[in-house]
Amino acid sequence: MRKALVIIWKDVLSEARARDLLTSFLLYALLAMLIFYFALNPEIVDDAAAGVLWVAFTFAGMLGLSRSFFLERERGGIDGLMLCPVEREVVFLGKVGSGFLFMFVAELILMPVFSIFMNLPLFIPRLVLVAFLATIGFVSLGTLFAAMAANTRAQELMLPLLFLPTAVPLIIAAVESSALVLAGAPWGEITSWLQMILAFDAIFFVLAIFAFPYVLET
Amino acid sequence: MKVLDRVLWALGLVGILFALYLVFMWVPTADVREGIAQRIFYFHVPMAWISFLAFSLTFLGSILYLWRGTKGWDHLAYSGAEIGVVFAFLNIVTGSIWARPAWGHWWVWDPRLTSMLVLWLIYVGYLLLRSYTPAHQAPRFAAVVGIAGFLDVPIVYFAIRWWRTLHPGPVIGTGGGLHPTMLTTFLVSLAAFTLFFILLARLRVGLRALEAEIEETKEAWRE
Amino acid sequence: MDTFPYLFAAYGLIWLVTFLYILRLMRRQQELRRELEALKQARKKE
Repeated sequence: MRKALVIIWKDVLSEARARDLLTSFLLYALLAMLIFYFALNPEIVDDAAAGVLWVAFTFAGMLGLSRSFFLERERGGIDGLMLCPVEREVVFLGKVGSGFLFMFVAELILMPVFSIFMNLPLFIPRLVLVAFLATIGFVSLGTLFAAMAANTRAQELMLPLLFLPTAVPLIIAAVESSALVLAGAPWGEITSWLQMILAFDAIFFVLAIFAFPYVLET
Repeated sequence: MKVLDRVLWALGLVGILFALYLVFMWVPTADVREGIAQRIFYFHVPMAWISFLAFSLTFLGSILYLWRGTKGWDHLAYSGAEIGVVFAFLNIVTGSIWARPAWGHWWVWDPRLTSMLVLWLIYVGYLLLRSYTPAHQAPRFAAVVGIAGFLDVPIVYFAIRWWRTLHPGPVIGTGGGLHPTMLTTFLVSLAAFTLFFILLARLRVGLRALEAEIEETKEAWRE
Repeated sequence: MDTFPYLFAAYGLIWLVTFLYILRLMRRQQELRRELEALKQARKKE
């Protein structure tokens, strides 16, 4: 377990120096939100708010994941990781841990910005909860697929192609729960979608941690 | 062609011809409103079942490949994915063709049709992953997707169905139960396509094995 | 009867795609068999 924390710390340190991943995510998501705002009919934008948020997070998240593995490759990190006498599952935990940290921090920064655009309260605790839960599943599945995509010769295509269809339930659940939160719906309604998010998180975290060793093997 | 393949081919052909007769001549029209286009049902639904059958072969092959490492399982997995993609595609397109006279639109975000579209994309991803990944890693990566995708199927279906209950819309397919004549026609059609599926699966797996054998022969020759 | 074109399109498509797929598989099989034979023959000559 401590080894996983070491990996997380290593990622955080290299990120703190380069600040690459966080800025990419923030800017990309911001741009996505902006384009949506222009692209959608102003009358329906408020209704579509939850969708706009999650599309922005999803695409920025995928970008972040593929850049994370790309950078790892560039810096020779992956070979280094594999030479370490560390179980593959621990490497997975480390990557998911740091990925989650980056993505969630970025989301925390973006949500107030989103609120400003959409005329919503700056801090919405329930929305933060939805983001927290959904990001777990997002990063678990995303890390697995990003590791595979990084090995193909069509990385920019493969990650979305692999990730998005498989993540459909997660995205639907995240959007629906967010929409209910923003609409002020009763907690009971929101929990049923949260349960779906949790179920997805559980299933795909377990699947990914079992499958990851097969992906890293040469 | 081996004997079994010939038998499957013959039986399948007879089955399809019989099914066509039942669909066009024998079975009564189910819903006068929808008209004769409703009969698309008798082939549209079997396409879905066959693709599920194919994808479960992929699931099986993927698990066994990761566990045992024998290439044969990988051939099975790949074949299942390819055949599944073909039949899923047919299911989606015939569903769309059916939607048009039934609901006036070419696409209706029906839960089953939409789930099938997502499923199709997952396995298209499987196939593309195979072609874009270096040969020594491709089977293993694909096996992971084969397993993940299959486990995802029920989740995708329930999520979409649930989502649809919040945003209701048209549903494709026969609402209530099936009249005995319709059931018979459906089953005959399903049986005929299953026979063809088995034939296709055998052919495809055989082809993969043949390709592998040729590669090995070339490798051995180079030494 | 007025919705017949759709019925025809659906069944026609199924038939066409299935037929083409089987055809492609069979042709590939012939190609590969020939290639394998050629390789084996060339190997024997050595």
